[in-house]
Parts: sequence; C-alpha cells; structure tokens
Amino acid sequence: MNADDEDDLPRISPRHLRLADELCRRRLSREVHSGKRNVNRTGDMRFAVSNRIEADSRLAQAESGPPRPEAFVEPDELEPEQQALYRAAARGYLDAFGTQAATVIDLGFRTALPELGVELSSNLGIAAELDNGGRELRKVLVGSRRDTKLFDAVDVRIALVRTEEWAPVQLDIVAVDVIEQRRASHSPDVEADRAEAHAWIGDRVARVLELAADPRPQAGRDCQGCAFISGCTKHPG
Amino acid sequence: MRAKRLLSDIVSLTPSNYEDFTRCPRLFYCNALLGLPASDPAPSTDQGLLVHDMLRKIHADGDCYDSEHVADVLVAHGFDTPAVRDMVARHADRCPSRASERAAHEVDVARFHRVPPPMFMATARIDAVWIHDGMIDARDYKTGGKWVDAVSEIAAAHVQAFVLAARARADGYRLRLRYEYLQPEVDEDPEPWELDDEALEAVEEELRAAVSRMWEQEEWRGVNDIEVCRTCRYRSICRDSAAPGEPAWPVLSTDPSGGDA
Repeated sequence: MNADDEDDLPRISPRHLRLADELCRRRLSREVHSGKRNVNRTGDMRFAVSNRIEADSRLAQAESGPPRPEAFVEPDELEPEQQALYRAAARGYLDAFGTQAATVIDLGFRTALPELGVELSSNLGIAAELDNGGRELRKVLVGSRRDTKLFDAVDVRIALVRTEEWAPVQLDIVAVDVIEQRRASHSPDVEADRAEAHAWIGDRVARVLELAADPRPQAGRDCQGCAFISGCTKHPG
Repeated sequence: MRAKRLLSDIVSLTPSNYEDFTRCPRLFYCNALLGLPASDPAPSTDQGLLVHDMLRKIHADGDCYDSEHVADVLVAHGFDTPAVRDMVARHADRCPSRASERAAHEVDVARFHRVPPPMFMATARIDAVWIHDGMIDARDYKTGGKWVDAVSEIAAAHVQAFVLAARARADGYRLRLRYEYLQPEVDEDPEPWELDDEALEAVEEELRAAVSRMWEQEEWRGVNDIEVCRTCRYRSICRDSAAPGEPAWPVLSTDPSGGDA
C-alpha cells in the first residue's frame, strides 16, 4: 500500500528502528508524529549527487533494456567537485549494472502499515524488474566509509516489508558503492524472512511509539541536525 | 553556491568542521555542507579509534594504572601489542583518575547559541571528563602529530570549550582542556587551556563571528595555498586547489570497458 496520501500516520524511519533507544525522545517524538512540519530548515545538499545518480538511473532504464549511458547527463547546476563525483558515480553505476536488461519502476518513499498504524519511510533504492522476470532492489552508495556495511539486517527487513506487493515471491537485494567499488548482495527466503521481518518491525515500531510517547529531551549528539530546537527546554539559548 | 541554499537555520558546529572552516572555507563546504567523500587518501584513523576504545574500556571497570587490569582488557580484545600498551602507559602517567571525584568517557555534549544572531548548535564528543580540585578536566586523546604548543591555538578546542562551558559554569567548576598525545614521538603535550569567564565569552563571540562569515559566503572560495592544499582530502577535485590531480577513487582505476587500467 502506497502511503503518499497518508499524511497523518506516524512516520517511522530506518534510523528510528535501529536507534530509538539511544535517541533524544523529544526529537524522536516530533520526527515520528509531525514529520517535517513546523521545523527549523536544515541543509539539503548533502545528497545532491546520490539523488541525481538515482534519478538518472531510473531514467536510464525507464524502458526495458540495459541502462542507456546517455541518460547520465552531467548536472550543470552542481559544483565542480560534485560534478567530478557525479562522473565517477555514473561510471561506477554502469560498471555495476550496465549489462543488465531491466525496467526500473518507482516504489515511492513510504509504505503504510495499517495493522501497525504507521508508515515506513525510507529510500528503498532502485527497483528493477529484470527482463527475466526477477525483482531486484539496488541500493546505491556514493562513497561510503570503507568500514561500514553496505546493508544490514534492518535494511533487508524494511525491503521485504515494503516490497510485499511488488516482489511477492522473489527478491534480490544488491548494494553497490559505485565509488569504492564494493558490492554485497542477498537473496532472502522471501516467505520465511518476510514473516520474521513483519514480526521484528512490529516489535520495534511498538518500542519506537512507546519511547515517542514520553518525549523527554536529552541534550547530546542528537542535537546536531535536529530540526526541532525551537522550544526545546534543553536549549533555551 | 550561496550560503542561504546550503546552511541550516541553525548551523551545526563540531570540533572537526570548525577546524575545517578555519583551515579553508572550501574544505568546510565540500565536507560539512556537500557531504562529499574524500577524493584523496588521508592518514588512517584506525589506531586512534582503537586506542580511544581501549582507554574507555579500561576505565569502565578498573584503573589505567593497574597493569594487570590493563593487560586483561587488552588481551580480551586482542590488542595486547607493545604499541598499544605503550600508549596506555603514557596516558596513565597523566591520568587524573586517582584524584578524581567523578569521571565519564566519550561524553556527548551540545550547546545552542541563540542570540545575538546567527544561531548555531555546537556538539562535541569529549574523550574523557574528570572532576577534581573544583575543575572539569576534559581530555582529548591524540595519536597523530603535534602541530601547536598550546591547546588554545587549536580551533577544534574552541568548540569543545564552548560546549563544556555551560556545564562547568552551572556546576560551579573551572574548566580545563588538555590534549594528551599518546605516541612516544611526542615528548610534551601542548599547554593545557584553562578558561575563565572572559575567555569563554571570547570563544562564544569567535564562534558566532565565524558562523556569521559562513552566512556571508557566496563563493566558498578555497585558500589555494600549497601548504594547506597538499594534505587536503579534496585536493584532487577542489575547484580552488593548489595541488589538483586525479581523484584516488577506486572506480577511476578500472577500465570502463571491463579490464583493469
């Protein structure tokens, strides 16, 4: 179920599922219950290159076939350093997926889970319907730290739950750092792993909502990038 | 790109991004605002992270001057090497734990500046905080080279001082910042920094003025100084680099047609 029109449901992100117990509960509560409404504006250029690579990757396989290299057009509006990164990332993407015939579709950014009364909000990556009928989720990273995993068990669970309609019987998850040329893939046992994913996410969502119901502020690292500083009793200024 | 499109309403300051800004505005721009991965190799931080982690674990349930306890911790984590033992011993020589009433390790601290504008939020992770002799004695462990003679000369320390100041003042403590250089090549730590109210006010104004300069940026022009650029992690791709070159990204070392270059 696509949730783009479900503005009132609490919104749960992968970060909430992973870290809720360590986060400032006030920030957690506001992120879950008010999304980005009534917030301090935060900078938004950190994902300019990766967003552009994903957008162009979708264009490159909007129709069945291997990705069209000409869809990767160097973005004039970005800075020279970003353009250098874009060129390298486009090359890395084509290295990784250039021969694979597929059609890329858009699964949206949110999926409602009516049974839990929330929606899951995440970037699933690029959803490719392979010409052989397979379903492949491509998680594209643009220069990650070498000591970080390309994906983890939480990513897999979210992918399984959010792709239930699109990939009911088979799913391959492929994560590629197109700059560092690292690659990892996983083919879950869709039926068994999806059941486990639903149970795990159900438990974690309950925990997130429990913590968010007690929105005590906690000053610390979580204050960095917090969009809800206004009115926070920890920061009267 | 104009600052207004890039900066948050409340600018985030950290010790490292403030250090970047004072070194070169374009470095701050590429890293903190554009979030670009480094294009050039930087010194490995692996050993530093390891030593920080071991010191935290050693203090968690024992003392750094208890050699048996230290050996147990290092062996248990598989890091009982002469180099790590040496660094822990150098730390123990300077550790104030014997005289300390309280301590905490890897403490995350945040402090908000609202007025006069512009607003900023400073955050820092402090390696160790000891309370003794009416003082907050904050320590930053270092495993790299030493470049200055006094902590007060280190830009990152100014953010650390700012975030710790409110807590020190509220609890009636004086504040001292000390950088502990743990590798044997460094004979003497930089002079610790003890900050009185006047110094702390000056630090706040310095940070506020720096954020103000960020808001005035239109070009985010780099310093274009070979001494600064030659070790910069964006030297290959930076628009204003005095040491341009080819990025060291692995993807560029392969042949696009499939074979290795």
